[in-house]
Order: sequence, then C-alpha cells, then structure tokens
Amino acid sequence: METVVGLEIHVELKTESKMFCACQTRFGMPPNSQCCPVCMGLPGALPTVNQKAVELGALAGIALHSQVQAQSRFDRKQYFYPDLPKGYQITQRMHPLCIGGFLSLPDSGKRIEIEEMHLEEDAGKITHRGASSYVDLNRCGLPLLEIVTKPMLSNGQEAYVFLNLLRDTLMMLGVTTGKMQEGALRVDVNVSVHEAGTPLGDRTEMKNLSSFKAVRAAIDHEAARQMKIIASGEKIVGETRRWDERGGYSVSMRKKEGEQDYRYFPEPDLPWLHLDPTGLEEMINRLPELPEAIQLRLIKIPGMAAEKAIQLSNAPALLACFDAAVKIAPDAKKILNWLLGDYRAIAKKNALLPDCPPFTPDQFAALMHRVVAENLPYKDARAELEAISK
Amino acid sequence: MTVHEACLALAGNVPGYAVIDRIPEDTFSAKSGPLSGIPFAVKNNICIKDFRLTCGSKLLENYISPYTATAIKQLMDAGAIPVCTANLDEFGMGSTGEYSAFGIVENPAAPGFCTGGSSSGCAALVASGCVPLAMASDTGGSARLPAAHCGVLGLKPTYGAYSRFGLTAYASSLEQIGIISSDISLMRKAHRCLCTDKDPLDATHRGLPAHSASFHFANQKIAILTDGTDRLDSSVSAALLSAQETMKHLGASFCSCTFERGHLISPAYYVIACAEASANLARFTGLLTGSAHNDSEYTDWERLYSANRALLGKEVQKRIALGAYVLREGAYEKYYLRALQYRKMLTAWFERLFQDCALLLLPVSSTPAPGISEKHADSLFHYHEDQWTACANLAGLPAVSVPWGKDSLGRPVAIQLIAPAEHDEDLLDAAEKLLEARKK
Repeated sequence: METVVGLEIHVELKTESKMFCACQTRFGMPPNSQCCPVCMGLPGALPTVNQKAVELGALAGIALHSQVQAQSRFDRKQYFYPDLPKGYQITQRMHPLCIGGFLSLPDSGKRIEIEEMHLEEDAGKITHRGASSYVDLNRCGLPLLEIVTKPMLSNGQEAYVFLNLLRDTLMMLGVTTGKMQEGALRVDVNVSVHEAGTPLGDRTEMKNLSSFKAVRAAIDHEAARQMKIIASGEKIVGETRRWDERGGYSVSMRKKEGEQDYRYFPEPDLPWLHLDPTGLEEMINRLPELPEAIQLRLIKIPGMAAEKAIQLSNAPALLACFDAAVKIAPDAKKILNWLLGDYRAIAKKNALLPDCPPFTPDQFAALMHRVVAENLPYKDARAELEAISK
Repeated sequence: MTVHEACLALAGNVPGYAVIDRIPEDTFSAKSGPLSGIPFAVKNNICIKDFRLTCGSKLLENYISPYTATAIKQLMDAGAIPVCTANLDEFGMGSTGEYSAFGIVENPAAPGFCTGGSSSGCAALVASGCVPLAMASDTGGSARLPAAHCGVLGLKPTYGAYSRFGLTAYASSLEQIGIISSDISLMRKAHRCLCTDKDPLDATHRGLPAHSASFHFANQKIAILTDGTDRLDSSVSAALLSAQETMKHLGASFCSCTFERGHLISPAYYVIACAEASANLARFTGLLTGSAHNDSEYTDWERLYSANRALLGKEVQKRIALGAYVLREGAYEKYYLRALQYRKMLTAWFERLFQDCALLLLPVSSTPAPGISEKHADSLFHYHEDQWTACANLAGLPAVSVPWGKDSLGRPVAIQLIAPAEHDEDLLDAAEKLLEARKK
C-alpha cells in the first residue's frame, strides 16, 4: 500500500504591524497589550491591508514558482469562538494571492506541487487556568500565509525534507522568522493510504505538530495505523487527530462528518487587491539564489551527497568557499571533507562560527588547489587551514 | 443661555425617545471653520469617544466607545459641536422608528405618526428645530425616509464618498453616513467637510473629485420613474407632479423610465443586506462590549453568547437568521450570487439612464408617515417599500430626499432625486434650486 500526504502550512509573515491594523507584532508581550479596535473587532472599526504582508506573500509565491495573481480578494470565514472577536476570519478563499507552484526535493528531484497560497489573519489565544479561560488577543490579526500542498508526499521523510527546504527558503527571503516554538510556522498534515492505481483513501488530519521531526514521526505512525486498520478489514474514519509527541501516538479529536459550514462570502470592507506587475518583476530580479536552486545545482556535481548540498545551501559563506574551490580544484568530495569536516572541527576547538569561516573563498580555493592538483600532504594542509582560520 | 444649552433644552421637549445621551458642553473644545458653532446630533451607531454606542440595542446598553468616528472628527474639526446622540431603529434595521430597545421616536412634524427609520432620532431632532444638522446613516434609505416623513432634507452620498470608520456596520457594501438637515446650504457645507481627505482607516473610502461647474435645470433631461405609480398615495403623486412642474419652469425636459426588473430591488437588497449583517453582527456576543449577563454565571462560552444574543430585538434576529440562511452552502448560489447579479444589472441600468439624463425623480415612499403601531402585521410591505430608496444603495449612487409640502392630514410629503455616481454636488445644486423656485 502507498501513503499519500498533503500539508497545510501556516506561515506567520515577518511584518512590523498586523495584517489589517497598525498594532505591533512582537512575541511574548503581556496579554492584550497589542490590540486595537480593529483587531478586537469593536463596532465601527474597519480593516485595511498591510502592504508589507502582501509583498512578503508575493515573494514567497515567486520563490515557490507559484503564479502570483495580479488580482486577489478577501473573504469572510464565519464561526463563533472566543479567540475570534469579529465572529469571522478574514481570509482568501475564492481568489487566493498565489495559485500553483512547487518545490523540488534535492535527493530525488521530485516536485512537490503547491495547490495555492493565501493571506489571512491569525486568531487570538485561549489559556485555561482552573475553572476559568483567558483570551489574549495579541496574536489576533497577525498576518499569515497559508500554503496548501497537493496530496503528493509519500512518507514522513519526504515531508521532513520538503518542510526544511520550505522553511530555509522563506527564512532566507525574510518572509518569516520560521520559529516553530513561537508558532511562526505551523503544520497540519492530511494522511491517507491506498493501493497504487486506485482512488485515494479516506484521510485523517493531524494537528499539534511542534517540530518537523514530529511531522515525520506522526505521518509514518498514522500511515502504519491506517494500513493495520485496513488489513483487519475495517474502514478509515475521517477525523481530526491530535499527535502526542512524548508518547509517539495520536488520539482522535473530532470526527469529520457534519463538517462546519463557514458561510464564506466576499469581504465587503476590502476592495480587490491589485498587484503591480512591474513591482513583481523587480522582486524577481532582486531574488538571491534560493536553497532549492542551490541544492539542485550542487547535487549534479559528482561526489555531492544530498545532505551536504542541503548543508551548503543554508550556509552562504561556506557555499562561496565551495564554489570558489571547485572551480580550480575539481574534487567535490575532498573539498567537502575539508570544509564540512576539518574546518568545522577546527571551529569547534577554537570556538569559531562553524558556518562563517574567517578565511576568504580565494584563500580556501588556493589551498584546495594545492591539495588536489599538487598533492599537498594532509598534515601540511591541515596546518595551513588552521593558520588561515585564525 | 449658550447655543449648546438651548439645543439640550429643546431636546427635552421633543416627544418620544429621540435622545440617547446628552453631550455636556465642555466635552469638546470648539474649533473654528466652515461649520463654526453649528450644533449637531449623532445617530447612536456612530462612535464618539467616551460616550455610549448603544445602536438602539439592549445588548450594547452599557458599551462605551473608546474612539471617535472619522466623520465626526471631520465635522468637529470644521467647527461643528455634537450636542447629543440620537435614537435609532436597532442597528439601523427598521423603517418606522419603532424598533429601538429604548423606546419609540415620535414625529414632531406629524404627531401620532411614525418618524420613519432607521435614523428616527436624527430626523425628529432636526424637524423639531433642536439641531439644524444630524449625522445619520443610510443603508437602504435610513437617512432619506425619516427625513421625508419629518419634513426635512436627507442625503445619502455616493458610496465611498465619506469614511465609514466608526460607523457600526450593518451592511458594509450598501451603507454610507448620511446627512439630515433643515437647511440645504448647511447640508452642502457638511457634505464638503466629509468628502475631501481620504481616510487611511477605511479601504472603501475614496472621497469625491473637486466640484467644477454648478448644476442648472436649463436644457437638462430629467428621468421620471413611472414604475408602481398606481400604488402611490395621491399626496405623493401630487408632490412628484409639482416638482416636475417646477423643473419645467427652470428649463428642464423629461423622459419617463421604468426599472429593469424593479420587482427584484427589494429581494436583492434584503439578501445582500442581511448576508452582510449576519457577519457584521456576529461580533456582538457581549464578550468585549460588556452585557447584562455576568460572565461567571456561565460555565461555557456558547451559553454566554446565546444569553447575550437573545437580547437582540426580534427584527435584528430575523435579519441575522435570513443572512445566515442565504450564505449557507447550497443557498449561496441560489440567493446571494443572484442578488449580486441583479445588483450589477441595476447598476448598468442606471449607467444607461444617466447617459441621457442628468437626474432621476422618484418617490421616497409610497405614502407619507404611517401611524404609530399602525401596521405592521405585514413586514413584507415595509421590505417592499424600501425599493424606492434601496435602489440608490445597490448602485452606490448619491440620492437626496427633499420635503415637498404636506398632505391633508398635515403629514410632510417628499420627493427624491438620484444622480450619477460622484455627482453629489449636482444633486445638492438641484435640490437647492428646486427649493428656491418653490419658495417664489
């Protein structure tokens, strides 16, 4: 049997102010110290769109090869809950900011396709203490980008690699802080199993995943659980499950049947969102080389392992050294041993930054040339590397 | 006695519950500007910092707004002074002035009759001479209808002309703050204060382009609506004919027209208004605005919400239920999308009409003010009556109701003019010229 996984990722955008008001977005402030009539939904208050959030959403769209829409629109998603003061969330349902897109995994080259990406506002936070519940609206109205993948990941490891690549990409662009412990990146997974060539099976949704490792473990555990159920001749029940990370198991939260009707309709307080195509063009031109492209480029070099390519793609200084060296000393394996092995050992011993060596790419390349082309003995080369690492 | 004191004293003499709260004289420091010293009343669904914002609802009886609406700030910056907040049909829902949780507003111009709604308190306060100006709101006729029933002027500007920031939303895509006044030139001054600067707090606010030449009836073609004229009270028909006669004297020519599928105006209006209301009013749970119910009485939020929302009036509950219904999965296409389609059709009809014609002349309502508690077994009658005014809200067009005499019972009668989008000044010019000519 095959496992089919789709991801829904909520990315908190790194902006100074909230999605629809001027409130600040700092984490860890005293409860209800960062809210105003707009994000509290007081009568008469109206939303206005944070252009910086739109820009970051578009940037993410470009980086993920998505079609950034020249026109998108907001909708209201209605439900009652005390962390949602307006009684509806402003989101993009019918006309999202970005449609389609993909990221290629470095090891297999497999394209994980994106369904759509849309802007929305976060809800507040509820804490229960004793018999009372407390609502904190500091988080309410923070800008989110929701990224929905197609159901095309095959196991926990693929999801793990994909999510790391996604986070590295978005962090490099300054789209998000990526801090999962602060809720800046939240992942829900949908898992189903089926026989290859048959329609997709009934899926379950898993929540409360606090790390990418938890995502990986939860997917593999859930797939195994479903296969066992089917093997015993029973059916999968559509439901939302909660992952218990410490115990390494999941429990049912609620059944899917009779799902809530959110009564979506276009947000009348906000006009269509128009994006300037020349502004987008400029954004594309300013884009640095992104982790995906770096990994795909490096993986083609003989002797390069996927794991090393990933390491380099997230350490621009090491990557510059590698790129300079491999030009004049074409032995990737050796260079990687020196850069990720010897240099990091030296760095550890001398309390240097493992990803930011003190030598220049040219210094390192020259040394590698002598190692590869002139067969400089290991002992001498090591001494020289230590010398330029001072 | 200061003007402020005089207004408040007069307010005490207005019959019925027109006033919600009095605003003490020393609350705001007076500024000077085009509206220096002009006292005005504020419909109590528009925010004034540190004053109650009841919206005519029991649920918001003790809610105090922490900020002031942009439009009120603009008027105060121009020198006008708010003297009191005015009663209204709850959340702007109602067209008689009888749907406030705080009591019925009575018509000072026609004792024993309704004021019309929902800006009932504003119209009563202006008609009684207590204030010359009031900030109302108009979602489907809420400023124009009570103005008409009380014998004063009521204006709804082009959609987006004034900032809505601080106006409690009922139906966001339809409503604007409106002006009720006893004086056309004062109405124009207030209008100009409200439509100039763009408000960064309202994404739908655009203001209006600067006004160029003034409007004259000479050589203009005026469209006369002939729809449903068989249903009009004879006093209303007579007023329309008389206004037409006056326009003719001023040099206008005429053409008659009928709405494209006019029977759909009210259904489309109610579907859209209620759909938006069901979401806009979802925030009123008592959680943030306070309520009569003590939080600790309830062990779960759903019961607390239900108890608080049960304080909403029946008409409000009905419209919320209707709105929730038309947005349900399955009903959305059948009702909501079709209402939007008709809205487009009507907007296009107006655009075609105004290629030839400068203005549309039509009634504000089929009859003058009905008697208090006269009806209302048939609320569908009132819903249907809204077509005369709601057509302008659906198409986002400026419209003004102009008092035009009285009927045999002494009730004020009015006519209505609708202008193309952004031609608000033409509309005010036209109203002014008509009133001048009528005086002569």
